[in-house]
Amino acid sequence: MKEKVVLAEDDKTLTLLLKFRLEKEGYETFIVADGNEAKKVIEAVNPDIILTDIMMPFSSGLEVISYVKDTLKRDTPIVVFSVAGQEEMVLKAFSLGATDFMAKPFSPNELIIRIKRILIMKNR
Amino acid sequence: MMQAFVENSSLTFWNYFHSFSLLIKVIWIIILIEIILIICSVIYLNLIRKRFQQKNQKEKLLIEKYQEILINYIYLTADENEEKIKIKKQLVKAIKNNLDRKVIQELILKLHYELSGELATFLEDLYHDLGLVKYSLKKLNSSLWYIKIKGIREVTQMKVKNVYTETLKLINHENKLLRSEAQLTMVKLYQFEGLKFLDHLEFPISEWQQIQLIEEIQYIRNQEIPDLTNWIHSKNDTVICFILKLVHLFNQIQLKDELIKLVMHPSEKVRRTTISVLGYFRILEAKTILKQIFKNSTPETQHYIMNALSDLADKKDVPFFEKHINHPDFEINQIAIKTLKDLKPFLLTVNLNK
Repeated sequence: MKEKVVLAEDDKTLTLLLKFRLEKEGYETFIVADGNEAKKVIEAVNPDIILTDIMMPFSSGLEVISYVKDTLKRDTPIVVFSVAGQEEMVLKAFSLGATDFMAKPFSPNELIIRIKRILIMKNR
Repeated sequence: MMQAFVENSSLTFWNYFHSFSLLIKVIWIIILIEIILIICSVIYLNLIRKRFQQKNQKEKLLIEKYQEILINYIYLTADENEEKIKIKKQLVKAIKNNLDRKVIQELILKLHYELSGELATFLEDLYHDLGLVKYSLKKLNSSLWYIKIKGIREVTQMKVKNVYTETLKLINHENKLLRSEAQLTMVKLYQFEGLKFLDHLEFPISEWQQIQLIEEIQYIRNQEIPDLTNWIHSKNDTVICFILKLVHLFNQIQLKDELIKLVMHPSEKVRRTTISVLGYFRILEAKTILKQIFKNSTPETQHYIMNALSDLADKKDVPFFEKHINHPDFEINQIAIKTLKDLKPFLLTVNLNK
């Protein structure tokens, strides 16, 4: 069975690029463009891993992490995307329960390696 | 009968209009013209709105079309070479159209901004291969400064290397933003070689611009620092201050003789920056000259000198600091006391008791 990835990112081109890559790697990918939609999809599909941008419309990435960890009480690994200057937000994300973070600009190859590593650790 | 009524009523209106005084007639005519103008403006604005909506709609469709094409192209494997050539041909053809080109260019630039590693390099190569560099260079020749900035940012982001002369021309542009952008581009694209723009700089470099330039310089991997001596003698005081910051950053202590000469520079800002650097490098040879200029310097510069001398002090300097422990300037006497405390704690107690 394919592992499920929820990708929450408001940049459509980047989302498509990552979706293409994730599907090529054999993951079932669900893409959402804002935080509210992310919460709904995460609750519905119960993904194996969540990739989320910190800054998103309606609900931020931090709210998504809090929703997964505190409301849904799930230990789904979460990788956060940030940009330079968001170090404080990244620290908050970690304190809320994020598993890893990647600073933009990032390499999709590196992202895939991190996802694989996180999923291996999770399935151990 | 209807025609007769219309003719009759228009005749009546005409007779009625003629019965007015000249002023009323003029007012009526102005009102009429304004009504016609308002109607024309509404129609025109509606047309423009419609055109914009159509353009936006078309742009949206093009974005969707080209982002799919681009992503497909990016992930084509080596054995799908035919497909690669086909897509590339399609893109080359598309960029001849202004709107299509704008969309493709923006998509590549936006994606490049988000990505690093081999994909970023791939997008840079694609930008070159599609001939989009030509259009970025065209922007550099625009008469509008903000278009020039757009062009300069594009060439910098896509690492277009053959823009040295074009960028150099812009470092003395009357627009401050454009000037700053051109100077940053020189460093981003040509690294230490790009610092040659300092030879031609006619405007001062602001503190903020110096910080931005230093930030870029710190990213330079090549550690072969150029000879900074020439710029130390620049006619532009801000260039000297900027170079002094680089001397400090890269520990160019071999320039100490030049630094000591700068203590006598006519610009107070240059003198102060030099004094700080001398103190940082602990250049003992500078002590004599610093003591000499202390008396005739401004209070602010005296603080700099005291701080530098405090860094350079040894037991031979005790008399100098003793002379200033009762200086009316609080900061100066504090530095003097603190330095004496470090040099000779016992002696300080005796002198203070006196």
